[in-house]
Amino acid sequence: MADDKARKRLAEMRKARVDGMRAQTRRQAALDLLDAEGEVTTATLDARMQTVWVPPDEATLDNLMAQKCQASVAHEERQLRHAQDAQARCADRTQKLRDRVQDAEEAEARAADEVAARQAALDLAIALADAADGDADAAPAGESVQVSPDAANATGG
Amino acid sequence: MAWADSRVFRQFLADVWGNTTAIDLDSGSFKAALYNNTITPDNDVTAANSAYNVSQWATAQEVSESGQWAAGGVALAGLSLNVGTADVVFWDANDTVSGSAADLTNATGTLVYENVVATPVANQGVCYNYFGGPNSVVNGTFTIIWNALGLFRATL
Repeated sequence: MADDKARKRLAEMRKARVDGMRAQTRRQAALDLLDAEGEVTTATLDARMQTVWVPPDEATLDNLMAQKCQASVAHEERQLRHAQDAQARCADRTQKLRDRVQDAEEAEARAADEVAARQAALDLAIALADAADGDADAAPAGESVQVSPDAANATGG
Repeated sequence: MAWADSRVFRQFLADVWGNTTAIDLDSGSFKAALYNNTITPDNDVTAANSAYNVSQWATAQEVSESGQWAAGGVALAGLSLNVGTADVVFWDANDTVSGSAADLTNATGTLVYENVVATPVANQGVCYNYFGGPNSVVNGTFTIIWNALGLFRATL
């Protein structure tokens, strides 16, 4: 128990010593801002500021501006490439849709031709079936048909 | 009764003889329209009902193909009134021919009508001629070879 108290006391003393050193450092920093009369002056502040920030010269500013502009140009170039890529993707998709429309139109035309051919075949089959029944005369496709109706009679007495 | 023979319209003769209509058989304008086997022609109908696209002669029953044997019929050519035989007078025309690529189905007969005189009845029928049954042609020529006795004849 006595050892614990001793160690705790020793820790408190070390912390107080460190705090005292930090306070001494802050005091010295404050004293550095004072002139001989103990006043804070512009000269001392300027001197202090010079150690913190040195204004860049014009060449440095130009260089910084150039870097900024180059970064901006690079950014805009990236944006342009993205837009161009999007445009290319849209054009590709449009072309695919056009191809699909054309394919559909060609399929429609082929279907219409098929319907016409089937209808012609059906008509011919019907005509041939009628002919087989003896009810009608039908010629094969491409051949001609001639009919010879009787004259209409008006008979006197 | 179904279509079974060729006949001249009674009212046509009456209207011509009575000067009711100005139809002129040797210089008028006539057409032959084709019909299928679903109609029932009657030569005793009124002048109005003998006309093209009226009653039995409606276009629903007509057989046609544009450019080949168009709806409304093909014009007759070479019209003549023949009185060269004793006791007979008949009306004749050149054979009537379709285009060379006709598709016509079940043409069973033809209505011959006048297509210029408008009064008292427009497109008044003259006669109808039966083909003996339905006739069809596919991509070919369809020809009406008029009888040697004409489209219609009167035996006196």
